[in-house]
Parts: sequence; structure tokens; C-alpha cells
Amino acid sequence: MLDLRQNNQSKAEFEELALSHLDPLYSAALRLTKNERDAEDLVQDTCMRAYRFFDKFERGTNIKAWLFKILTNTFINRYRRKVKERSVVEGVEREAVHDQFVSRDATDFAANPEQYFFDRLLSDDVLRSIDALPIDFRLVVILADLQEFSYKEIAEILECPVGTVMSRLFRGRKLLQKTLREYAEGQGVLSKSAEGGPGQVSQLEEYRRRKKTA
Amino acid sequence: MNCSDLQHVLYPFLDGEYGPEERVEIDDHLAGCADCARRVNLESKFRDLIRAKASPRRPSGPKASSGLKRRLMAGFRQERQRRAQQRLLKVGAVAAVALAAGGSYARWHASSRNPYQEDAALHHARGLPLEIKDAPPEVVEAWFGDKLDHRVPVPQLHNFMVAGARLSNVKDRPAAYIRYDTPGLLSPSPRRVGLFVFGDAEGSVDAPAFPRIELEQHRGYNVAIWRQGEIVYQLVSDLQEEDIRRMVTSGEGGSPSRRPPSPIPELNVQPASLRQGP
Repeated sequence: MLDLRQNNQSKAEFEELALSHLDPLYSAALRLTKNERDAEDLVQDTCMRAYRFFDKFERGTNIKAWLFKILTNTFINRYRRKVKERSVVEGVEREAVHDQFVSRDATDFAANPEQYFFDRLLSDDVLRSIDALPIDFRLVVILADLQEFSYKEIAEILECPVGTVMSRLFRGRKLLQKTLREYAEGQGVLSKSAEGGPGQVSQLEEYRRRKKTA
Repeated sequence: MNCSDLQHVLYPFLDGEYGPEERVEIDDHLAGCADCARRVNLESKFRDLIRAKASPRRPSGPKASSGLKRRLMAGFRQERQRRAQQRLLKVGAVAAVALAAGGSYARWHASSRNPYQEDAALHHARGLPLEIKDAPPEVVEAWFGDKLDHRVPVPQLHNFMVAGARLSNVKDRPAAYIRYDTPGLLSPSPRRVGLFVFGDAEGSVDAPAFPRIELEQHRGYNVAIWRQGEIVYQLVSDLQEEDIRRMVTSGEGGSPSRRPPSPIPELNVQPASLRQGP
């Protein structure tokens, strides 16, 4: 017969676990969907799915990683169309940004005398820069830098090899640095580099403007 | 380990992905390379900065709203109820099957207790005296003419002879009762067949339209019931079901009727006991 007591127990256990990871889930959802309403919907979807499949969850394994796997899958499935629409624009942007990133070697960044300019950036700048990342890079940056998952966990969450996680994280962080640097330049936190004259629209702003008109 | 190698291991190194041995190797290189050490230092600061500014754990980090929590709890509650209902449905499905079976049993049971069938069998069994005897069918039909509100067709049944008739009733319905016997010459033990004919203009009696018939067993008799328009027929006999069906639905065959075509086709009956061969 059905053991209702055990079932209820595991459900109560799930509710407690899910609630304890609610803030991280929501904050990641916010970075993925970029708005509060969609983020709440995504978290709710994720938790309800997790609730239904909780009997499939292996006790003692990483519940947070499991929840994030459901979150990313739900996001990718549910927002696939939206993501597709976006990635058409982003695909172009990604190449453009990447080309410039490649042309400007990381050593430039390291050699910059005002290497601590980041300290003066605001949270909002960093968050907006993350939000501007193409989805593949954004996912690994969110999981590694914001949620502090290990590479192995990320590989499991995204169902891809660890090598892919590493290369995406590398490119994601470099893109992020690039964008933030331009942000800092645009705000006068960091003096413009030689090729960037006064009044030049920052790449991020240009990106946003083009994205809006796209 | 050279500077180019470091570029590839820098992030995993900072992210704590390496074990002590690998770390020592990297540390050794950094100890002897100021450029790489500076780069690692800067990347480390960048990494810290991202976490400080964007970590969900920072004080101003986004928090799930109480509204979201409420909706989630409501969602869980709903899901619990849905599951409980599903469990009930599973249990209920078994009950429903049992109920359906019981229901159909009851229906079958009820229909097997069709009061008209039951009553016809009872009246036939009583073998009440016939009011008109040894008369040809048309005379019998005429005899009923002024006694009932409906015409009483008197069909001929193959191998049976009209033994006689009387006024009877099936439940609340005044009915014609016509009895047929096998001729004594043909059978050492005469068999009797009773036919009840009554009117049901309002169609309230449960009887299928001919050529469908419904057969039930009552008091050891097979009782067939069918309807032709406003007239309901009930044939009570101890014949086998197969023979009754053949007799009732055999159509035009059998001995020619001397009567105008009756509402039921010429019945052609041959009791099992009279049949020869397979």
C-alpha cells in the first residue's frame, strides 16, 4: 500500500530545501530572464517541477545543483523561443565583441595602470554587464561566479563536458571585463584608452541601442 | 609551466579546481614571473569584485519576494491535493469498476426481473382454463375482437396448433393469451407455448422492436418479449432459446397463413425434441 506518511515527510523535506535555496534560484532567474516577473514565474515553474520529481532526486546528492539543473532546463525549454529570437541578435554581437576581445589581448587589461578601476563600479554596472552576455556565457558566469558552483557541478547542470565549461567561462569572463572596462570608461571612472575619443559611445551602450532597434 | 600555459590554467587555478600538486607547479611559476603574478593578482581581484558586486549573497542581493513564497506554498499545497485526489482516484477507480460492475449486474438483475416477463411466466404456469378451445386462428382473433382495445393477431407457429385462448393480463395490462400445443400425434408429451398479446400505445413497456427479441428465464420458462408498433408480444415456452429465436424471427417460412398478414411474421417453430438429425 501507499506509505502516505513517508510521502508527506519527503514533501515537507522538499519544501524546506526548496525554500532554503529560493533566494539563489530567484537571483539566477533574474539574471536569466532579466525581469522580476519572468524570474518569479521561472522560479515557480522550477520549484513545481522539482516538487513533482522530488522522488527522482537522489538523497545525499547536491540538491542545489539539482534545483539549478531544473532551473536552467526550464529556462531553456520555456524561453527557448525568446532565447532564439535574442540569440539572432546576440550571435552577431557575440562575434563582434569576441573579435574585439581577441584583438585586445588580456595582457592589455593586466598592464592597465588603473587596474583597480573595478572597485569603483557599482553593482548595477556589473549586473547589467552580466545581463548583456550572450546566454551561453551568461549561464556559466552566473553558475561559477554568482552561485559558486564547481566546474564539475556546472558541467552536470548544463549537461556538457567540463572543457566546455572552462572555455565558456574563460570567454564569458573576458567579455565581462571588456564590457565593464568600457562601462568604466563611459562613466569616466577609467580614462579612455588611446582609440576611444571623448563622446564616443561605449560599446555596451551601442550594443543596447542596436539591440533596441533590432 | 610557461606564461602561455598559465593563461589556460589561470581560471581553474583561481577557482580552486586544482589539487595541491598542480597548485605548487603554478605557484612555482608565479614566484619567478612578475608579469604572470600581476595578471593572476588582477584576475583574482576581478573575480572577487564580481562576487562582491553581483553575488546573490551580498546584502543588497535580490531576495525572493514574500508573494513568490506565498504562491509557491499555495502551489505545493495544490500539488499535494492533486496527488491526494489522484490517490483517491486510484482507489476510486477500483471502487468505480466495482460500482459499474455492480451497476450493470443490478441492471441485468433488474431486467431479468422485468415484471412483465415474470408475470407472463406466472400466468402461463398457472394454466388457467381456456375460454375458447379448438378454434382456428381467425376465430380466436375474432373472439378477442370485442374484448380488448387492440387487435389480436393470432400467428401460426410451425408444428404447433392453436389450442385455445382466454382473456388474461400481464401486470396491469389486459392481454390476450393464446396457447399452442404440439399435436399429440407428433409428440408423446405435448409441449405448450403461451403467447401474450397486449397493447402498449405509450411505449412504456421495456420491449425491443422486432426483429430483436429479449429473452429471460422465469419460473423455468423461457420468456421472449418484443414489440411491433403498439403491440407487445410475449412468448412463454420451455423451448430452447435457439429454437425460440428461430421461431420468432424465421420470417415468411413455415405453413402458409390463412389469415391476412399478421404483424409478426409467420412463426416457424420446431421443438428441439422433434428435430431429427443434426
